[in-house]
Amino acid sequence: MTIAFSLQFQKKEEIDKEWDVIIIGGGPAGYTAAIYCGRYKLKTLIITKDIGGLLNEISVLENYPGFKKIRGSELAKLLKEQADEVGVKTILDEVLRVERNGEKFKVISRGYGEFYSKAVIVATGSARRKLGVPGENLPGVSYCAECDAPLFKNKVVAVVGGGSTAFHDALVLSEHASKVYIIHRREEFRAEPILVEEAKRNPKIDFLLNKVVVEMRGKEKVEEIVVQDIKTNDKITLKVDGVFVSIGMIPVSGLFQEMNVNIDENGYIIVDDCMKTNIEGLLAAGDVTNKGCGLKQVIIAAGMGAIAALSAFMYIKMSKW
Amino acid sequence: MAVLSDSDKEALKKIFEENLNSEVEIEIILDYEKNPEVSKIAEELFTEIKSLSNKILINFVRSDIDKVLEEKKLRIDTYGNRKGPIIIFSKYPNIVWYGLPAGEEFPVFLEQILHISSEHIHLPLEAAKVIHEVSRPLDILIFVTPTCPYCPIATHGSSMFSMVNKNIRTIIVEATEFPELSEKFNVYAVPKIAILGDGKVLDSWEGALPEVEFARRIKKVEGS
Repeated sequence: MTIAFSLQFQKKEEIDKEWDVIIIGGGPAGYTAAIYCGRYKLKTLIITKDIGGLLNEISVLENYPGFKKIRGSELAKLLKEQADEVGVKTILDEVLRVERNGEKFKVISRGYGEFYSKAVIVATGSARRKLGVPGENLPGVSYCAECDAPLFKNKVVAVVGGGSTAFHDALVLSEHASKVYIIHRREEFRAEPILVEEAKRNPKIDFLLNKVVVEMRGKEKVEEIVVQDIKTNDKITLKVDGVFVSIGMIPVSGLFQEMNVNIDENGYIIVDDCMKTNIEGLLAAGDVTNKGCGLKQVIIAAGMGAIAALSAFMYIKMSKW
Repeated sequence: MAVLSDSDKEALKKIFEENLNSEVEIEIILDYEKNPEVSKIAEELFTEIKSLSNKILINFVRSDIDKVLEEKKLRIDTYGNRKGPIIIFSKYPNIVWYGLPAGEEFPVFLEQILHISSEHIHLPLEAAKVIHEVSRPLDILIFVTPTCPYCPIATHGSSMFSMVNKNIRTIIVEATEFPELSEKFNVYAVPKIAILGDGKVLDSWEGALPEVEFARRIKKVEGS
């Protein structure tokens, strides 16, 4: 066994209140924007609840150019290190409000209070969508296989969903659980075929197709789920020790509705090709935006982050919006 | 085989040289009877860490664990744990690890050494203020797994709380190594946090909270 590590020891320092750019969210969009902003010599602060956002939930990333295989959390640390090197400051906190305050933005965070900046880049990403069925709040229902898979050693678990994340989750879980059911409402999968093939070869993974979970039951934790066939409407009860829900994402954009930022009917922040929102100086990048043809991937988010940084630079240094 | 790679040892040696101020003494209670494999790795790992700085003092305790817990009056048996390894900082005996700080938790453990050595507390001021006012002894149990990337937010925050206020005891439990304890506290997702006062669960939840929110939640249940 070899232990590898990277440290984030921070010495005590005062945090400035005035910045050129404040980036909200520390996923691939946020940190790519940060690296570019740093290189543009913009004084840049990232306020994020964690380092890496949803990158952390990717056990192995196999489609990010330049890395054949890399753990999502490892890439997150590398992104932060790269941002640190160009002078970007990160604080772990939750942003409560963003206001336009004259020519500046006022960004209020829960722990550190008020900050001011000339531009803001919103990179708040997305969160896992819930199934919305009775019993979903029972213990044993999880949205992070990477975190919780080791707790289900030799147990029976179900993964709900048919996208790449669901297949990642199933494959991670198969390393610990004795049996993994993939329950999906269709016969076809949106997941990358390479993942589907790997799952089909895995003897621990079984498929329940054309089926939906309509209820989860249990006394103190989830013990069984009710699965309905969407063609015949027949219901079966499946004994499980855990359920992992992976049915897509919802954008984390609630904070910006109050600011009258244009948001589409699905909650995504509407941006143009330069990642500009309808509010001057406010940019958005990554999963929270309506761009990217629905392809929620690290590479896409990173690309949008780079564009947002350029737009912030043009706005701040060239007064061009 | 070494637990730390040569390059990691070099990097760590440099970090210790640059950042350690006063000595940090750590007690490692090994448990070769109930947990021989992990105890062996723990002994190797901490022997390697000890060799990287003369400011890190490691005391291995290899005797009967029940006797040790009794002698040290750690109150650990409040929660029924009778298994090692257990890691305790001598200066801050209110920061305790059940099991090896592995995977995502290893950096948190190393940061604890640095923070304790420099007496530097890395917290938002508001969180420190709230925690400073807690007047009742509370135990914060944090269940983690080595692969949980969000867990370090909770373990870092709570260990900083313990440095601010000795009434707060942080017990970080590697959930897969301590299945009985995990079952007792219904751990099905991590980080699982339980706040206990007088042995009773006053509040519990799944998921890491930003430090200020975490601190306020602790303060809120203090009078329960």
